[in-house]
Amino acid sequence: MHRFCSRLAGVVLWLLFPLEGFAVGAGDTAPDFELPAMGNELPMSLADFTGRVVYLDFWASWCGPCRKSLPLYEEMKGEFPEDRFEIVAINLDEDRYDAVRFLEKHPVSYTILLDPAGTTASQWQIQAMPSSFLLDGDGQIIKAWAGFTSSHLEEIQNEIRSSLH
Amino acid sequence: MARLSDAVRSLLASSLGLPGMQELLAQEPPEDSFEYRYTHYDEAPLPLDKLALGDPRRYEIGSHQFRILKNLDDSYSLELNYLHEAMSGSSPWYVVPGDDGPLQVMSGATIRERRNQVDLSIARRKNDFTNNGAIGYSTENDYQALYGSYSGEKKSEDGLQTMSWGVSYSGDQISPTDALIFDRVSHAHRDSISGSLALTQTLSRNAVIQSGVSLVRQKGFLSDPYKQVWIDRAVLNDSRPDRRLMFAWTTRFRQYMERSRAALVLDYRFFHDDWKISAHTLNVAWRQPLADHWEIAPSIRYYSQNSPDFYKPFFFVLPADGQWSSDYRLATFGALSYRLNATFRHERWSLSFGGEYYNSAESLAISGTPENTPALVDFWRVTAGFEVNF
Amino acid sequence: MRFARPSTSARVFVVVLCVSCTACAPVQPWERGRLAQPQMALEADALLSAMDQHVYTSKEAASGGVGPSGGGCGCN
Repeated sequence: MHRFCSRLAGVVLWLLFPLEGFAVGAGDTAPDFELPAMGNELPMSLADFTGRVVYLDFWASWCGPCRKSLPLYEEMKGEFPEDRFEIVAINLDEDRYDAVRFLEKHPVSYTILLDPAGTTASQWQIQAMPSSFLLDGDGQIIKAWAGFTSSHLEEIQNEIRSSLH
Repeated sequence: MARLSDAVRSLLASSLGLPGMQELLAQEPPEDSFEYRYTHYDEAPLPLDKLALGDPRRYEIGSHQFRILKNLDDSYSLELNYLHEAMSGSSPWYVVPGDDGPLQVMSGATIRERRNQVDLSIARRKNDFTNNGAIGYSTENDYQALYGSYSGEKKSEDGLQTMSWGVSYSGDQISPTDALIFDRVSHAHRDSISGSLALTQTLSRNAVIQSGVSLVRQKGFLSDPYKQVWIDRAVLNDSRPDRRLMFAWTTRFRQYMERSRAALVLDYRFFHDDWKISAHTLNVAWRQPLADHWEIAPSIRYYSQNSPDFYKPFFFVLPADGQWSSDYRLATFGALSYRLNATFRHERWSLSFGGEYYNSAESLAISGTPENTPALVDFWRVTAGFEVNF
Repeated sequence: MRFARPSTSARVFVVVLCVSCTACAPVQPWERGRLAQPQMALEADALLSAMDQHVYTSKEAASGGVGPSGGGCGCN
């Protein structure tokens, strides 16, 4: 009973005084990773994308906004030059079959990396699903987004455009 | 009929009717959707050895439910609900002493009625807060109810807890049919105010629990104008207190089972009011996904209540406090219901079918004084519905 | 400070809480896939739940736990 009371008190305090999450954000150096790519299984790291602006998205098939965003990113990709801009989507499904099934219905042409254990998500201190980051060609984070709504899309496009100049 | 106004919708938006986990997790509101459901409800006829007089064929109800959800933008969404139901059947009227136990007098006429109910609610999501306001109206030939509610919820920063709350008000007008002929009250009013509070906690990657309390205060005409009570060879109108304070504590638990991918559902509600009725409700379900698109969910629900002091099938002595009722729904009884639901889910739409068999009996009650109530009801229910997302 | 002896229901509640909280470690945002499955929803089907409440409240003395209900469903 005492443990329950303290737990309840903790919850109430937690709700009244929310602590700020500390995700990796704008201005930080992007933590490196090495993850297998879907399809060829070849490991890829940030080094494979040096020189290009990268839109990095952490997603999973069970997350509603993630499902909405992926096809929209595919459309967005076509607006920017391929040699200067790349989209990389890191999938966090525990069971890759869930991701495969989703992508069969909504195929995308950009790179999908697999992080089923969530180690990279942990390193990047992801606070919400989905979470996305815009990286410049030198591995620095320009901007970060938590969650996805359709109004984010325009902002993302603007940021990509200005980073390419 | 002891009809109470339907503020379910208004309070479903608050604590104990929280949106599902998907909505709690999503940064965005649920998708635009249209849903329809048809339910057919059929009560077993009163056994002839319990019948004193009247038509033993009991209630049969067909209900149509419609729901539209529309997101206006990233923050606001609108929800519209409409219910139409048609009911017919004879109903318990009063109970008389018989040689082998109490016998039920049923109303002779088969009542045929229709009811329409509509409600509109607006939700606003901002950061971790959601606020919801709703109004609704229900009408049938002898009963109108108007209700409104406010509810809200706040997610914690890490999304693992959600606190929710709500208040609602309902005002009902009752104008029983054939009031003069049967010496019923010709016009009556009742209202109720309620409040609720709940907490949802993610326990682990596989489990979540929600617990909440609610308090409802009713005032006005709370008796059933269509029911009477046999008291010492006279038959008097059902007469209940004009106030009622109700408390309920509900806990819902969900556990994901890794090997089967199923969810174990455990819900428990404790109810108590100032009429000294206590009730326990336990619902256990197993929601099993099958193949890629199906889900089968068998469940069992157990319910038990004890009667208030003013309930008896009939009285030989007139109660001094002026309160008496023979409504079987106030009796001491327990009920077991067995249900099965099947759902087929596709990306943009889903279909579901379900059935239930409900059986009530005094022997199933865990406490209270059995009075050999003759009209405890059993019923069947079948339902089918679909949902389309845009 | 003394706490009153907890009732049976309170004890059951705490046991359930602790038994299912296997790791009792915070759940990361990307670890919520199972909780997001439709079978894990607190309310599986809004219309079905509303109808359930409506039916049971019309036939039983306890109200839905969420307030007055019954909606004139006669249901005698």
